[in-house]
Amino acid sequence: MNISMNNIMYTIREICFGSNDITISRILLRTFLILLAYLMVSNRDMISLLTGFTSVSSFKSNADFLEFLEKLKIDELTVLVPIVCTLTFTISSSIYYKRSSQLQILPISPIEKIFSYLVVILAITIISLFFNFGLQYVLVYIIQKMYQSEMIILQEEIGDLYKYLDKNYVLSTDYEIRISTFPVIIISLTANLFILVSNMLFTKLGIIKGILLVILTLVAAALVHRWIINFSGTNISTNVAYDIFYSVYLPLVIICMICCLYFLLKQKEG
Amino acid sequence: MIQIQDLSYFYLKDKPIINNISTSLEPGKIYGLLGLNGEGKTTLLKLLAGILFPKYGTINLNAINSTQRNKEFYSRVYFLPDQPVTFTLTLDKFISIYSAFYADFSFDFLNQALEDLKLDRKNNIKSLSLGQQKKFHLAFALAANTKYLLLDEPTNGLDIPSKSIFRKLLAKRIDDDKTIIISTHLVKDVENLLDHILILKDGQLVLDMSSIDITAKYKFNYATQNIKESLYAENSIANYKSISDNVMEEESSIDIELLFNAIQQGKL
Repeated sequence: MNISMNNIMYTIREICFGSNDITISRILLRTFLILLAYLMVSNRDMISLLTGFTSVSSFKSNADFLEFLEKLKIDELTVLVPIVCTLTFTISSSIYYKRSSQLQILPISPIEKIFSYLVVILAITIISLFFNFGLQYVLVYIIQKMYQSEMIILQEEIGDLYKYLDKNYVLSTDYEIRISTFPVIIISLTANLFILVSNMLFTKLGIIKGILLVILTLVAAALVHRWIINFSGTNISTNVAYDIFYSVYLPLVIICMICCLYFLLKQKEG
Repeated sequence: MIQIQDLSYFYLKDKPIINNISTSLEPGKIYGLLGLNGEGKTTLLKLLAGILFPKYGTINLNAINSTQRNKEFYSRVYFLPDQPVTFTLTLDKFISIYSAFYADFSFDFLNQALEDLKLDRKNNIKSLSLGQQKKFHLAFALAANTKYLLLDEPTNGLDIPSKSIFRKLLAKRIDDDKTIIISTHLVKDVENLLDHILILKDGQLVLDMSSIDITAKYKFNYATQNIKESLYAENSIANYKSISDNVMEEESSIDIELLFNAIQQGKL
C-alpha cells in the first residue's frame, strides 16, 4: 500500500484551499453565527438578559425575577457543531461537486484521499467544538458576572441562604458546560461521509443504481439494528441504547461508508 | 508506451463510440488525434486517462492498466480538458497547491511560459478571460512534466500569438520519454508539430500513421491544374490542392487538413 505523508498533506491542502475554500476564520464565523441564531430562536431569555431587555423591572415581583434567574438554562450547544462542519464542507466545496476532470486525475491514492477527508472533517469538527465551548464559556461567564450576585441577594431577601442550584442551571456556582465530544465527532463524521459517498454514488453509478444501493444499505442497517436489539434483549435501557448508537451503530456505518468511498474512488468517473 | 488492445466504448450498445481499436503509441512523439465532432476524440482521451473505463479491451500505460486509477498511474498522466475548471484562486496559489503532486514539475519552464504568455501570477484565475485561463492551464500542464500528456482541443480559444507560443512551448517539452496526444479539429494550429496522425471515424482508427510514413506514401501537390492521377483534390481560389500516390518517392510537406478531408470522404 503506497501511502505518503507528504501526499496526504498536499491532499489536505488541496481539499481546504484548492477545490474547497475551508479556512479557520470561516469555521469560527459559522460556529458563531449558528450559535447566535440558535440562541435567538431557542434561548431568547439568555439573549434578552444579555442585551438588557429583561431585567427585574420586566417582572411583576422580585420573586418572579428570582424564579426566572434560578431556572435559567442553556441547551447543549455542542450539538450544533456537526451542522457547522456539514455546512462548511458542503458550502465550500462548489468545485468538488462540479467534478472537473483535472481534479479527478490528481495523483492521490484512494486511501490517501479518504484519510485526508477524515482529517479535514475531524479538524473542522474539533476547531468548531473548541470555539463553541469557548463561546459558551464566555456567555456563561458574562451571565454569571451580571446576574449571579443579584440572584444571591434576591435569595437572601426571601431567606433562602445557601440555596443550592442544580449544576444544570446557568447561575449555579457548580455550572458545567455540557460538551459531548464523542457523539459530536461521530455525528460529524457520519454526516459528512454520507455527503461524500452519496455525491460520488449518484455521479458514478447514476440515480437509479444509487437509490437502489441507498435503499439496500438502509434495509441492511435496519436488520443490524434489529439484531442488536434482539441480542441485547427488550429491556435495553436508554443509556445502553445511547451507547450502542454512538459506539457501535454509527461507527459501523462510518466503516461501511469508508469502504464504499474506497471502491467508489477506484471506479470510473460518471 | 501506450498499448491499446481491442478497445471498445459505448453508452448505448448499438451505437459504439469507439469500436474495437488497437494501436501502440510510442514515447518521444506528438500524436495528433483528429476526427469530426462527436467521433469520440474526448472519449478516447478520457479512456486513456482512466476517467472512463473500456467496455471491452484494455489500455496499458507502461504496463499499468488504465482502470487501476492508482497514484503511480496518475503521476504519469496529465489530462487537460477542453474547458478547464475555473478556480477562485490566484495563479500563484494554484501553482503552489497543485504542482506539489507532480514530482518532476518544472517551475523554470512554468515561469518562462507565464512570461511568454503574458500572464500575471497574482491574478485570480476566475478574473481571467477564458482564453487566458486556457493559456494558464496549458502552461501548467506542460510544466507538470508527466510522461503522458493528453490535451483536448488545446488551441481552442487561444489568440494567434498564443497559438505560436504554445507551439514553441510544446516543441520544448517533448523528449524521448514523453508521449503527447493532442485532440483537435484546428489542425493548422499544430500541423507542423505532429509526428503521428490518428484519425477517428465511425468509431474506428481509419488512419494511424506517422507523418514520415504519410509523406512517403502520399504526395501533397499544389498546382494550378488538377493532377489527373490524384486520389483526392480540392479546388481553392488560386490553385488545386491534391493528394496522389508518391510513386516517385518525392518529398512534400503534409497538409493535414487535406488529408483529413480525403479520409472523411473515403478517398484514401
